[in-house]
Amino acid sequence: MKIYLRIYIGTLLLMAMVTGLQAQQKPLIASCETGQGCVFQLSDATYEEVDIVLDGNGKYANMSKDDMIVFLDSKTGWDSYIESKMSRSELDRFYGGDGYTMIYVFNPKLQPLDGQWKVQLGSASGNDCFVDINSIMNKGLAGLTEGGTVDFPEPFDAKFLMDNPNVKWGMIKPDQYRGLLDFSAGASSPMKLIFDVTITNEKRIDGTFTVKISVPTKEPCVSQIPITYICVKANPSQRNRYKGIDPFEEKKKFTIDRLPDDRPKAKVDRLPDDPKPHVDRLPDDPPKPKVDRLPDDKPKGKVDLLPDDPPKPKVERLPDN
Amino acid sequence: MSSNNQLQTLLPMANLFFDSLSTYIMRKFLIVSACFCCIACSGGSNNSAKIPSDFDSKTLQANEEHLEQLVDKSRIADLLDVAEDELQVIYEDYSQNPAMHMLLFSWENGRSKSIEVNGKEVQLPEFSSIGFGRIEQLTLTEFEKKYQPKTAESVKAEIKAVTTDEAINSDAAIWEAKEIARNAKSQTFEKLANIGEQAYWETPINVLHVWVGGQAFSISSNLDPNTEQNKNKAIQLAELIFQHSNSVSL
Repeated sequence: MKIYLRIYIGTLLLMAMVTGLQAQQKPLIASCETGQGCVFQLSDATYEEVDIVLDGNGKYANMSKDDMIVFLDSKTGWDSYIESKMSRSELDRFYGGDGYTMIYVFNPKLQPLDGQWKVQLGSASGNDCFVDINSIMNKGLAGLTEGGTVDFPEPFDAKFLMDNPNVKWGMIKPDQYRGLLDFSAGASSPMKLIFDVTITNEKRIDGTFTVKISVPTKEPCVSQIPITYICVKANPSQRNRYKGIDPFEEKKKFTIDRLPDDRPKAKVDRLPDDPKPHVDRLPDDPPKPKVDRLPDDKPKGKVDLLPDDPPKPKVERLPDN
Repeated sequence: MSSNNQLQTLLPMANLFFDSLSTYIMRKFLIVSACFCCIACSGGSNNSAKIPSDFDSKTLQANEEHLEQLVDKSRIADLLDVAEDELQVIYEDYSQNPAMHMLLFSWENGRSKSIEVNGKEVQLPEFSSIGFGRIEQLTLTEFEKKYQPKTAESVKAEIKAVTTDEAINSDAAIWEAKEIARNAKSQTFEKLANIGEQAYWETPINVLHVWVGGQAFSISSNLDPNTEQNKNKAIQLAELIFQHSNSVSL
């Protein structure tokens, strides 16, 4: 009884110690899939920002700081709810995991593969408005296709797709990001560029580029252009985490059993060598004719040696200073 | 000799005979029962995972980043009484540290559970799982220290280490501290014998931690609300790992 009392008191002290810490500013996101457990990551947005992005109407802004936001991968996409009863370990086991968890600053399962990628833009479409944005967008961008080798940062960061210091990126759902360029004018900015990106799978990223122009007394002009990234050829030997590739299946691919050598080889007699034809020896070259040596040139004339230079006059050495 | 006399002579002899016979039969029965118990206990033992004499613990460390080399999927399917193609395999190697890697086998167990999502009740299929990994080189002292019963002081030290580490994001540290405090309330470690060289059974997470030849590994068991069933299967998996490791090259 003494031991249990000590544990109880100790636990109360611990809880007091933890609650005495400053409350965290960012919620914990659990991305869960039945049969695979959950992956936990720290949101890069505050409770208020998450509430706006998820259209929570205050549900996420006012949630308890001890609760987690759960994204459940269902057949229709991601469903989100607030988990207030279970710990991380219990939640992981609830969805079939092993109970071991750690907090990542990213979702390690959603990683596009490195390799040859192709990016293609569609045609712009939007509402009729005072500015023909669609034509402007189509003129410069529609149908544009580019390709190249891509090595994605690991973990994946959506900023990699549009590396502009003025674009603010945030995660909407575990596989969905939004980049916003409002030219530092905030929510009331007359012009906004929004880049929504979804990691469809490890070989495909789908996005929508939206331009929104707002002027007083007029309906906002909105134009959208779809953008698709497709992996044409992935680099080999990357572990495909998106769909949880079975390492036992991979092992089978590279294990090819040698066919049994059970057929006895037939005895085949050696073919006789063909007899070599008789070829007469070629005669030796005919003897070379004797040619007399040409007489030497007339003897060289005698050339006298040049006289020595005249002797140098004797000059007294100058005394040392 | 009169018939009565004969009877009186025969009866004690008969009694003696039947006594002897029944004793003989009883003894035989007991011997057979004992043998049966021995056979039942030793074949697929639920309480021990012996190390084969030629087991090399270095095999574990050599394959810490290729856990699939250390287990046979078909034998795991047999152990769990599940068809091999029903087993879903998830390799949790998200961390750079191999000591955090786990190989998880999960399957639909036929049950379902419900949760509330945005005011609506949603039915989900239930999955069971068994996992293996977290291979780490530890001395026996380090291993035993890791699985000592938690005290208020030890948990406070854990929380302090997390919250004062400047390498950890402050919000992440707060979340970790909450999880440590929450788990401390119910976490227990039971020392087990005859499993590897040293072993502990951790609840409520239902994980078996085994130490052998300077290497530690863990087996998670998420099968059943019944803790004993989880423990038994984890021990049997440990035995399979010991047996299979012998066929793996270093």
